[in-house]
Amino acid sequence: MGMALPSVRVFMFEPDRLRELIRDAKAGNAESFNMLVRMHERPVLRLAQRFLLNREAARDAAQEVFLRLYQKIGTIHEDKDLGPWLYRTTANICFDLQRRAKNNLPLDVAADAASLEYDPEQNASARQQKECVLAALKELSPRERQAIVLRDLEGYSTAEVANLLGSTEATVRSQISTGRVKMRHFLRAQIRERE
Amino acid sequence: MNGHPNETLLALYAGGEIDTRERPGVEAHLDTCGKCRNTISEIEHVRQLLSSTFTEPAHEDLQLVRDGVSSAVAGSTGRRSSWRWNTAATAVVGISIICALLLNRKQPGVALKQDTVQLPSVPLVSRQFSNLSWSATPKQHRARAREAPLQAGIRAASVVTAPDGTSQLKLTTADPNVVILLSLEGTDRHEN
Repeated sequence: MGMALPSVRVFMFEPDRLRELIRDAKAGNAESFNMLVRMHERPVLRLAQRFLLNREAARDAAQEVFLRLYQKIGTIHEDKDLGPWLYRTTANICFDLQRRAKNNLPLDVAADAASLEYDPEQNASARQQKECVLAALKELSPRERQAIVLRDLEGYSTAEVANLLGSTEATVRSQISTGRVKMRHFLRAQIRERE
Repeated sequence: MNGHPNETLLALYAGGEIDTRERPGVEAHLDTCGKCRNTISEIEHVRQLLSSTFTEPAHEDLQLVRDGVSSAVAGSTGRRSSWRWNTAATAVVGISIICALLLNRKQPGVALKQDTVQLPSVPLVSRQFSNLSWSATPKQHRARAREAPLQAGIRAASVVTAPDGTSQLKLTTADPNVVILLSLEGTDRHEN
């Protein structure tokens, strides 16, 4: 099985510094809270973009995550890593957004992703391929997409994905496998259409 | 394993999530089945495509999130602060009203006392009341000082003649509860 490992990005923060920031933010220090936001904004926004496939909605979701953190900062345990709480909240907020939009948010990450990676040598077919993958991802149910994103893009284990989504490992495995199969069929159909 | 493993099982195998009990059977099947190997390689390809499709969030988006959170938190703090001020102000006003009501409340059974100070008879200073004008009524005669300068605190002066003929100078003060009565007996009211 010679496939590339999914991109795993681990953000390590000095535990003492994090504890101190959470403690200060709890005491009402706005600067410490802003620092916590800066530390976690990238993974939170990245997750939201991948769950929602819509830049504007993802920004709104990320803001909502941090506002919820602000409201709940008093209940956050200083000795625990803030990451899982933030990612779980991101998943829940994105899920609610998708449900409200009937899982039909306009797909606007494709163009942005292409422009962000803009390379004069990148040809139109490569861009088309990306758009196809995003369209395939959009075909999945919100929870299937979240499971696929967390497992195949973020590199979490199925147990971690289950914990983040508040689900069981068996359910997550089912969502992941169904999602992969759906995407494969969608892409095959797209390729056939073009041929 | 009889026949082909289902596609979802192959999808789990491709991602390494397959149950350890099912793995040997699937691997044995893959050794002999090109079609299932092809399915797995397609699923692996989908996973590779996914990894290469996404990029990190743009700096511009991160900045917008940061700004949005900062302003929302600042607004929330402001709202919280103004709410506190409003509550405090309402409490102060309420307490003031209650205190005022308690202080001004008439005590039951206790009538407001109007003190009448009966001063000893003193000769009337004619110059002060030289221009008293008299008005006659069936019951009493009253005169008001119109032009005479009154001392501070005294609002009006009048001469009151009782039915028995005795006269008194009545001084009304700024305090409605204090009236000064000066007996005019033995004095000359029309002294020049």
